[in-house]
Amino acid sequence: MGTYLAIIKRDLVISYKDGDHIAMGFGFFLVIISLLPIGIGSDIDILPKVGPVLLWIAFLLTTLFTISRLFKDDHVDGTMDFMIMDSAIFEIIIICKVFAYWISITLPLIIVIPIMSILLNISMDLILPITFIIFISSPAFVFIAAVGSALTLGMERSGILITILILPLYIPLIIVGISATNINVIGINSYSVSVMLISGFSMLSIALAPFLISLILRTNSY
Amino acid sequence: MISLINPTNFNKLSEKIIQFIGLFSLALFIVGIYWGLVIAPIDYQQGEMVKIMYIHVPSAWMALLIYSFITLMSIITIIFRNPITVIAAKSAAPIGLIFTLSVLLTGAIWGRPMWGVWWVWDARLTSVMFLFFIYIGYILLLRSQNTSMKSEKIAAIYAIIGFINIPIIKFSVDWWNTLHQPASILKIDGPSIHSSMLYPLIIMFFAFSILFLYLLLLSMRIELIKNKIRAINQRRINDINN
Repeated sequence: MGTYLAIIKRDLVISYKDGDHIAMGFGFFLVIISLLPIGIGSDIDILPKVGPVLLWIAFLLTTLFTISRLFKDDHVDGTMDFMIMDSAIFEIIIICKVFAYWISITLPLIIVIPIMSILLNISMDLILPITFIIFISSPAFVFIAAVGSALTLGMERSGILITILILPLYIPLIIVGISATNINVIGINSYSVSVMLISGFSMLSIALAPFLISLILRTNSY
Repeated sequence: MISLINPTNFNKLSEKIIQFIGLFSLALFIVGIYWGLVIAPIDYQQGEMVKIMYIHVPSAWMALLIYSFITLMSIITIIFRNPITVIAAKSAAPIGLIFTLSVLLTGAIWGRPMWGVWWVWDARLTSVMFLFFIYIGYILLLRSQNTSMKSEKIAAIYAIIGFINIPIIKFSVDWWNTLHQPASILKIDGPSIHSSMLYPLIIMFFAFSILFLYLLLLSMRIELIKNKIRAINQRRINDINN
């Protein structure tokens, strides 16, 4: 247990000491969100309709662009090989690393989503549901993106390749997530059903992704 | 069958049968296209436009079938580390990509007069488009690193993860209300399409399958030759260095 806590603590310390990475993810998120209102211009009626979709897309792209660093440093300096050989269970080490990433990069985004929703003129009674549904889908987002990060480990231009590889796998999540707060989208038009489905996706990816990632990383290190 | 796993045996056997397979596919295409375009009746609602079905539907089947084939080869690759299955999965991917592109294009051409639009973002169409993206991702992943067992195994893992999309495509017309018509051939209570259209469709399906087999054998042989050239060059470099 101590080993795993130490890994979470180590990753958090590293990411906060090197604060640029967090700031970059955060800035990327804000810039993407502020692009659309500029494009739409003065037509104020469209913004609340497309706002939730925009929040999803910005969230997703930020996750995909920042995740490529998740295993990179450990892979380059050889720490990864020690983690694989260590007596601690490698799958749980992966969960710890992804959890530390989630705290340092994803959680700030989720906290700022209500504020961005107000900027996007999303109606007040939708803000909490949207934030909550992005919050419960974030484990699925992060764990699936971590698979992509492992797949492209050691490659140049891995950020763009991750996007091509992983976006198709997000489709069920996005369809269910967006249809939860938008009755005009195809899919299941009930909030509670969407919440249950998305919780299921998240649980499934927390359970499956560490095994896939460990398989990929072990293949990579031999 | 087992002896095919050996690249040398595979080379010998494929050399013998590849011409025959190509000609067989050509013959099936001639019969299928003539039956489909000339003999088969036109639809009372869609008119002559229904005949694009003889390309569209077999292409769709092939797109799914080839991805399933890649997945199967990838599973065997991971378990047994066999060179032939690696080459088979690698060679099948571009062919599947082309068939997926063919489904999307013929579907758009068919959709324009029937639905009034080239494209709708409904479940069936979107999931097939994502199959196209998964094919592209898989090919990029294979090409992104130098050829080595490692990168091929990683691509194999990705192919297996991407298989999750195949049942979504198959059942998308049942799970969601879409503009695309539901399955009319592979159903529990038999096909709901008249035999005068079903038979040419089946012949076209076999023509496409044999064409895939032909192209697969062809590109696998090319890949084997490339491997051989690479090995020879490597040996030459080693000789110079020594």
